[in-house]
Amino acid sequence: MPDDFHTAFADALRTGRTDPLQPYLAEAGAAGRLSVYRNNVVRGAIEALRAAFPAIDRLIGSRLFDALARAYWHTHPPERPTLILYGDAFADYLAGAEPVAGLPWLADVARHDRAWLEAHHAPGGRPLGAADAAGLAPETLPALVPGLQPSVRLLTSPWPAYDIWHRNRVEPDDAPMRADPGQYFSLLWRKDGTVCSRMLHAGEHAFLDALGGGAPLETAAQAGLAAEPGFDPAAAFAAALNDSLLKGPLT
Amino acid sequence: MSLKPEHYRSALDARADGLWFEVHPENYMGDGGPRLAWLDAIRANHPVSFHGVGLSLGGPDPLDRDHLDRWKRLAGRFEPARVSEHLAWSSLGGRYFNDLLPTPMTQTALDRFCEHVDEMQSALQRQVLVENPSRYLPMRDDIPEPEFLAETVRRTGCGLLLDINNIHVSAHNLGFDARAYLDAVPAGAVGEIHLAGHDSDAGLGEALLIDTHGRPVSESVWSLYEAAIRRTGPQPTLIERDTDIPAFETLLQERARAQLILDAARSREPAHA
Repeated sequence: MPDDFHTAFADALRTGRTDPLQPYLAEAGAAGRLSVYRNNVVRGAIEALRAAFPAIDRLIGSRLFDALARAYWHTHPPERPTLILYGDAFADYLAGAEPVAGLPWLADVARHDRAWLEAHHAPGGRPLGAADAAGLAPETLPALVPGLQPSVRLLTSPWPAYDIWHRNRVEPDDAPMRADPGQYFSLLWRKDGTVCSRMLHAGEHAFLDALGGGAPLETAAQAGLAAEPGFDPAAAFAAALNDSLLKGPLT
Repeated sequence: MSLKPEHYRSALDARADGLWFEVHPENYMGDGGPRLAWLDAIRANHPVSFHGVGLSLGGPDPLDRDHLDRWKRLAGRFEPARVSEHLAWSSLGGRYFNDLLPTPMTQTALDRFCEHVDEMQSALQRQVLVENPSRYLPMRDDIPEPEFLAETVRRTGCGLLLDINNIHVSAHNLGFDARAYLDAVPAGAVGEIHLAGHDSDAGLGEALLIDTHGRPVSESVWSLYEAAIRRTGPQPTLIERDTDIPAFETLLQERARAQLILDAARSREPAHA
């Protein structure tokens, strides 16, 4: 059960108000030293977010990033005693943050940073490989329900968020940016310990999305065709095997 | 040495005699991925110890069972040579403050701390080492810190992780005698020693030393370390570095200096019973 000391201390960390702590301190004026803890706590959270959202840091600059990360820490404090996955609501927060309201694509770029982090820490497991698939009777393929590897993240955006993200994290450049509205699909996943990413067409996105939802290959192929008339299910299946996107081995 | 991601490759390849690495288990509490794979590989070549920062043993709330379960799973997988946590708190009411906050040195806090240490030791089925904190705030202590630690050792059977830099920093900040502190802790309970660097506070200057782990170990800390080793006998010693991380070789040099002090102690009669 929290007592007055801990409550006063936690309040002081949040607000900087140290008066309620004074009765517990041995010296008058010593409460100013609380800023050591306050700096550690706030700075630690900000740096954890910066490490998790490097594209956002590059896009908006470290000063604005600091201010937004600090505000996020106030409204979304860490709840787990580890910061490795802190920031799960940061993209949503950015979507509503007034200082970046002029960058409507920023939240979706942040979703790519978040997808990278989740893919990085996701469970592994042997993927379904081309050799596994070759061993299957062709007539069984339509009913196959492979599912997606736990690291796979599918993203959709009305902005070219993948392109912006890629050019601010994976291969940074300073070329002028275009942000034409449209419908954009992208994929992040981990293969051999490395997080990979690429853009998707509507058909392949629908195909993988259906597989991720537990659909058999045939249903997923139909979803792909419905999303994009020129969709090639055989090529998409081969690419999924090659990229280690599917769960395996078969049972 | 503290194991940092930027040193994974060097750590894996290092062959120095007796070299071991320490990690914060909290940084390995993901579900999978390359970080865990690196630790698996390094663990195959070197002993690894676990040094927790998130259990909030010195706090008023019950221990986070999920966090303790994750600890158990990781300890089961990596079989750390030693496990340790802090005399500090970091969580309150489901909110995590990622720092080691000061536990008041009171009877109530002592009782709770001992219960928490017991709970951690029962969960992990092994002895836990408890680390003395860096202190910045002069608080109205009812129990001197060495006595608080000694009583914890007596009641729970835990060991101590003596952080020499923390003693130096706290002694400076709170105005006590570091050597007297060393004399007051139960030397026979010490199972690991930490060495690290500190900085002056940006605002208050030399009046307040901060345990940053961002600089080489200071001469005064080396000297205090030698005094500690005379009391405790040679103990596994960690060079801690968490910020401004230099080249692996630079840390190896600090580690070699500690090794010389340990070797000299080994060549003498054991200083403790």
